[in-house]
Amino acid sequence: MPRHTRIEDSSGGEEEGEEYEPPSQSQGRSQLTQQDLTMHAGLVCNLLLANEHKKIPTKRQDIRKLILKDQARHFPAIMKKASELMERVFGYKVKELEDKNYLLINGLGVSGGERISGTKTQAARTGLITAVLAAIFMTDTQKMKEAVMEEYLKTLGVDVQSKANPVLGNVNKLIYQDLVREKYLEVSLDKFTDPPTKEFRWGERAHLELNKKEILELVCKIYGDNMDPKMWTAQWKEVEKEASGTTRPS
Amino acid sequence: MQVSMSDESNRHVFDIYRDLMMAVQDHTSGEEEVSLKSIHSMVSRANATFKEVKRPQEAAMDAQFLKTCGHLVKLNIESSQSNLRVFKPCEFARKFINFVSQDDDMEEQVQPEAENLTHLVRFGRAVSGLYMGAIGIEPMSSAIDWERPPASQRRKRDKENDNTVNITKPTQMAPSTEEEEGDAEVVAKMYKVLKQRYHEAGNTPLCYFSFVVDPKSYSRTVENMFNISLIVREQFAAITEDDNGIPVIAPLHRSHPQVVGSRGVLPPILGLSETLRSRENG
Repeated sequence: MPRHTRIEDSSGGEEEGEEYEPPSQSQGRSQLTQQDLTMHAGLVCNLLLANEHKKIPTKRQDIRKLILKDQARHFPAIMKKASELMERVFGYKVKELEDKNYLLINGLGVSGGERISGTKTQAARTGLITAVLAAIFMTDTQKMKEAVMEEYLKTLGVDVQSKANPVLGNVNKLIYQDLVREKYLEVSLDKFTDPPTKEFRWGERAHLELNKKEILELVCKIYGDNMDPKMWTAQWKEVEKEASGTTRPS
Repeated sequence: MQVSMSDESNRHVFDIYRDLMMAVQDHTSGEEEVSLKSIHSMVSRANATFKEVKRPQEAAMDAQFLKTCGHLVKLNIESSQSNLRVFKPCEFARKFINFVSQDDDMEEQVQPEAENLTHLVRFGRAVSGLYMGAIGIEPMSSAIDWERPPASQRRKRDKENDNTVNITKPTQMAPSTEEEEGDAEVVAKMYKVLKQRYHEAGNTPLCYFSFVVDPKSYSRTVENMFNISLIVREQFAAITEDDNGIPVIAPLHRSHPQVVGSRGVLPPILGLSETLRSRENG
């Protein structure tokens, strides 16, 4: 960062836009100019977009090491600026996860209706994710055991152990690795069972991108007979919690 | 006197619990439904009475009463929530398939065993609007094609030889590396181009700057200057000045190396510097 000599006019004030830095001051203690702030925020935005294209949360550590480097002390200000830029320019909201990583969600609201889902594989993937998340949401504990999940998917026509599905590809990798990495699912180990079994629950991205009321209404639509969503009392409580803004990932 | 008073109080407590038990048993037999409010009032009365319990007989009656109340409450909840459904994943999966299949446009019934997963594809397209994910992000022509760089491996420190200084003496010339061979090919190619241009120009020396400078690439210009210097060093070409003082280059016949300068050696880089300096001064 270039050092600027102090410029004083007759009024005794500093030149507008310049940051004063005494020659003896080290670079690490320097103030961040507006131009540098915008530049770093722009780079952070690029990183967020690049990672979001791959559906990977952006790590705070990556932002600090790759972009901020010696400006890491200004991380809060830069992230705030980057969030403002993302919302203003792209209409995306930057959401911080529990592990201090970041991802983007649509800040403009869902347009509703059918949206073009790209290729057949992407559409099948979206359908599978939605079916899985809906089933997990409808369980009493918001968790689904591995064996139950495999049976459920088998009934849907998807073999979890398949590694060469013509549409979904490696289904096992998709469910246990890809969707977990993208934060749609969380797979945890239940150590209280013998032998320990895996459990599926909603991931943080699922909590942010999906509306539980819509999922519940979708399930009721699938059941048919004009089922009232309030019949599912546990799920309806979750819906009310989400509406009041008190829901946190379980 | 005191004994009679305590017997009387114990009997009073016993009577209360007996009445409560009878009321609860009447409800349990199913003759009439009991509301949660009445159960709550009976339990509150039992709580108040429990403070006066001094004998295990009344305490056992209190426990029995509470157990019966719990059973009544459970029956009450089950009767009021009898229309609730229990979620069964496989049942839901079958309903899901029937739901997706209910489409007049579809010619065939969707089979879950179909490898093309048509039902999931259709469902995915229909529910894609539920997601509030960031859409419309396209890769920017590999400008952000970034991969995590490999972690640098730390070299193990050789503590034993830290204090010693290893002096290596060269014993022989190292054989030419692949890079040097590549450079020789480039130089040869450049010499060939030089000869060709020289012949095209009617065997007249070429302007040095026109030959080496690439107006679109600074790095290419520097490479050309380096390669020409190698050619001149090997006496395959010579750089001189024309009548206007502009440096010109011409290929030489290897069998007849041209001697230029008082030393008989061609100083290409130094000559160029002097030429430029003399041009600036002159």
